[in-house]
Amino acid sequence: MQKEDFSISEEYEKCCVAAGPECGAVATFTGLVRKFEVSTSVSGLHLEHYPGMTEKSMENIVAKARNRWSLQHVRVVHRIGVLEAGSQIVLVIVASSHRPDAFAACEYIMDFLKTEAVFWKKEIRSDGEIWIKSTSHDYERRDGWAGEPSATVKR
Amino acid sequence: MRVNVLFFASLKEDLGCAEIELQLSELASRADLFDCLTNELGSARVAPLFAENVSIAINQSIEKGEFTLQSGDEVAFLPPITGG
Repeated sequence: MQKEDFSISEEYEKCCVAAGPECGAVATFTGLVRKFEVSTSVSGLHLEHYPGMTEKSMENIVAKARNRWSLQHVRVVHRIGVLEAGSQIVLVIVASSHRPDAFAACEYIMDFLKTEAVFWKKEIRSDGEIWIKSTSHDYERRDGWAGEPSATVKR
Repeated sequence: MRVNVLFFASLKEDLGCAEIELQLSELASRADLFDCLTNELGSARVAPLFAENVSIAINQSIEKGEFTLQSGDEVAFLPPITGG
């Protein structure tokens, strides 16, 4: 977790080094601050967190993913503070021997970051500031992982 | 006993404060906590804390049911989270 921006290439390199020689697949996801939201222009985002609890919530999500799939390494970078529109917010990099586990775990981690990582986002819009609410779609995506034992099960 | 209570995001703005220290009796319950907050801040101000989608964390662990507090506990009121 950090206020500063991150370099995808540097994080990717660190992931590959940590993953070791058995790594054959690396999936990455980057989340950005949208510039437009339902016809309203967004100038930025304020990201608040709960020091200590936020880190634990992220570690818990990664641990669940590592328990579920065979992963060589996982890196998650999440930014906090005030971010301008277009900025990078979050980076998830997952290394595995084969692509099904890497793709699935990357998607799983993002779905749980959306609903269980302790962050709050406030959009700074042209018509005022508004705290973002989770959508039913976010919860449906998270709940869609219930009971699925591995990446080989089609979602 | 003293207990520190934290408010985050929209709740911090609604209540107009980030934290408050409460003086509670030993083994205070969830109801005791809400009573004390209402006495300290007023019923109108604490109304957002009663919303169904607000979670309570005790020492950084979500508590969905009843609980008893101990001296030095950190209580946090969390609105629905939006990470990622």
